Amino acid sequence: MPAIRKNNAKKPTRKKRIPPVVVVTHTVVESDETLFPQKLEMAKDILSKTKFLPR
Amino acid sequence: MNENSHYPFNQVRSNRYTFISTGKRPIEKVVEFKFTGWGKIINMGFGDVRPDGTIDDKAISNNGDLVMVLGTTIAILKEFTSKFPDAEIFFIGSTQIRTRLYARIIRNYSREFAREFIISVLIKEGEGFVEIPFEAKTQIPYIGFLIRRIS
Repeated sequence: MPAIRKNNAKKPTRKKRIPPVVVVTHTVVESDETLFPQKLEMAKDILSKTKFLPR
Repeated sequence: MNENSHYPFNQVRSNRYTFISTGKRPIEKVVEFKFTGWGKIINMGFGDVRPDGTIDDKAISNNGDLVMVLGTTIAILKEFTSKFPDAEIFFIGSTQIRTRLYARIIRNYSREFAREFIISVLIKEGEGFVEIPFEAKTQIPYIGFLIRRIS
């Protein structure tokens, strides 16, 4: 029986790499839009001129 | 405020709710909460969704179900603040008449609100505004309302 040379020994097989798959199921960051832009601006304007009670 | 005093509502975004007013005719309503950039103050917007999808926050729909509509808005406010208990909700009427209407409602329900919320109001002072605690018996023209949960 011929001797098995070291180099012919079974090499460990390399697993084929599968690229990761990213599935987006929902939007995490919501847009800055508002349905009430005028009211929001008015609120900001009022609040900027308001003296608040201590919290 | 029980389930019979408001319409069922849907949360369509983390800060947006809708419901259908089923008075004389069905009207879709939307309530939106948006951060103002001031402290923990969130502005609450409220209006009708027009058939073309745009929003009308000055609509006087006269749909015969004002109590149910306002009850639903209050239920939504409670739901939102239960999720964000530190938030302070600010709202103003789109007209002076509507602001007076909001004041009347808060006055009528002040005893119930006071169990869960601290209510304060903004009034005019000089060129600016000042926040004062809400008192049901006081008849001052208010500019806006601030509501926060009792921690």
